[in-house]
Amino acid sequence: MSMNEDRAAALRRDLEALMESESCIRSLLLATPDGRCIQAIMPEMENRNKIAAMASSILAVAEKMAEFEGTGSCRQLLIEGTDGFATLRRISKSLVLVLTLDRTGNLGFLSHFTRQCEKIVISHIKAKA
Amino acid sequence: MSDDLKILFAGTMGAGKTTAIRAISDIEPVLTEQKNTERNIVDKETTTVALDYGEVSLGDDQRLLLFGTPGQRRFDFMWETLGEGAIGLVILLNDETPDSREELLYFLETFEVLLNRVPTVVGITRLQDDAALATYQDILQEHDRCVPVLPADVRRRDDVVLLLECLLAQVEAVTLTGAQPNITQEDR
Repeated sequence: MSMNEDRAAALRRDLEALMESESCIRSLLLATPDGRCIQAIMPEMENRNKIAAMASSILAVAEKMAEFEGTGSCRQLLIEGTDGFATLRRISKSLVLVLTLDRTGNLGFLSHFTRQCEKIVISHIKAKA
Repeated sequence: MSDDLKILFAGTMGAGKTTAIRAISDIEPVLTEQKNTERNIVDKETTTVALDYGEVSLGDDQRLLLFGTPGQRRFDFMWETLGEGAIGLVILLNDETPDSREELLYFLETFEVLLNRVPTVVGITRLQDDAALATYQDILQEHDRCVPVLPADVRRRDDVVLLLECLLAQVEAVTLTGAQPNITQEDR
């Protein structure tokens, strides 16, 4: 196993531990800014590449819209669906995080777990550096 | 009702869709470029991940609205959405890409619904030699498509204007005759 694979596995373990700590987290995905999936923990794994691409597109449009509407840099995008919530957030310019919760969660949980995920990912990026 | 005309630019990654819209747009184009992490496939710094948008004034309060798609197939969910309401399609292919002819076939299949509905023009960028143009025309003919194929250096405004003029001439012809666009004479 290469160092990169070791690091990826370590990151995955930490993210899985976070997911196991709270049952309302439905899925978690990390993508490159140009929409390639690099880590996914989700029930329907076959959708991961499409969701990574969609997240990249939506976030790019949201960032452009925020710029045009004068709200500054877009930090985060929230989606409230009938069956749950999703958030899209750029992490340290090099990654896109997608986190989804089912209806047993709420926006407070979403915000909290998003920050937790971000901390985990950034700690692994720093460890790599 | 708006007189604006929507044109869709589709094609492979690195074919020049963003460059074409940038070259011709009268407004500062809206671009959604992000760092390209597949430089082993196409060696360029950034890539479009959602859409490009530009406008060209035609006078009399009429505008061409130019929409560019992301080129990678993983973004194909954007293609149909961006094609809605388009009155013309520009397909750009990079001749330096080894599989550009297969890509043309792929776009003929993927955009079949749009091709049956709106006039289309194919622009070949980074053309290796003029004789290569015929190979693209042959593919189109084999698939009963009558679509103009033009070489284009999309960094040059004039070349993009030529593509659009060719497209708009077809739009006018189809509007006047009511003929189905992009099919060979025998199929009409």
